[in-house]
Amino acid sequence: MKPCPRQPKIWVVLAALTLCGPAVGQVRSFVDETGILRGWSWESQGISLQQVQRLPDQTRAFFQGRGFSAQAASRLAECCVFQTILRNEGQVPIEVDLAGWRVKSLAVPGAYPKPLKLTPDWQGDWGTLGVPQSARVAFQWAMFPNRQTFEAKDWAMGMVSFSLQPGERFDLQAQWRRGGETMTATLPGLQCAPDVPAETLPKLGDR
Amino acid sequence: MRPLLLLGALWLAASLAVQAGTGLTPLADRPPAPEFSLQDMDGKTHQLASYRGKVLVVNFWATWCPPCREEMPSMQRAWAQLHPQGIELVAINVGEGEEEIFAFQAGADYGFPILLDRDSAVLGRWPVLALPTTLVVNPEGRILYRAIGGREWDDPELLETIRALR
Repeated sequence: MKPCPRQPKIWVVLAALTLCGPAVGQVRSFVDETGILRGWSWESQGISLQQVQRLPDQTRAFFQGRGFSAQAASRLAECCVFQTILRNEGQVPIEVDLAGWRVKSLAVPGAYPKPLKLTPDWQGDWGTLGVPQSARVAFQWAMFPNRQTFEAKDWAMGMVSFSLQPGERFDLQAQWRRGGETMTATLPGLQCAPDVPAETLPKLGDR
Repeated sequence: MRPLLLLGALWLAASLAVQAGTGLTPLADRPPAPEFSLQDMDGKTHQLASYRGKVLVVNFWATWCPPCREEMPSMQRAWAQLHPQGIELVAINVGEGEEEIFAFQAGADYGFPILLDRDSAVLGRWPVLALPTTLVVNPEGRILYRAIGGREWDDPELLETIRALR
């Protein structure tokens, strides 16, 4: 794995727009406080979106600690889970609906952008796997909300599963509505965390 | 009449803008706060009805939620200022038990009641979609403001907005 530079590089990216109105933002990659996980952020017009890798082991531990079986926790953990933070520091409310978000795998040339697997689908899996109700409640509130209006200064943090393989690279097309317009921002070149123990990962450098 | 209406609209817009600046979003329909009856860490039951006649700040949180943990100290500082002025604050924990909360509290001394919504049944009835979410209930039992995500609760402007509801 290529080590991260000591000072995070900043790329100004014209967000490649596919579906609706383009949202031109500044995309930055960084290393989180653990020094082994990568994050990506997008920012424009008072809206910021941050995606930080989660190791599958982190997700397994979190959900097993809340009543999931090892099998159920692994099913989620191995589906490329990121910690998502979205902030609205602007004055105009934004409406977010994860059903409109897409991931485009870079592992397959010309891959078609796919929707996310959202909490109702996961809850169906948990029913099949016999995950107890208390654990399903924890799951529901630990995940990023599927639909949410962010008023001025509102923000939320939660997990999102991108249904890709550990280590897989992809582009994320995030979407929201602001002032009646649908805006799509692309975060290019994200990478799912590898499914390896944390202690085997190299330090990526300073934040 | 028209200039008066215009002035009124401007005043309302300015007022809302100030409130938005504090991070408290006014809820236009002012829904009635759903009733709850929950136990605190000492087993004492708290009901929403018993807070009628007072401004009540209701925070929904969990120990595993980083922004929830982060805002707790400022919530304690806010409570220390508001409680002597007759304004109440409760923090409703979602889906956890005394053990987790006790471990989280170690070393911290929160004066406000921490209530246990073990099966998230209360949470499901309130206008909450993410943690943390905090709602401000007026003395008549209606929800006037909501804040989604953590805040610095002892921000003077924010406290003033809450005090103004008395």
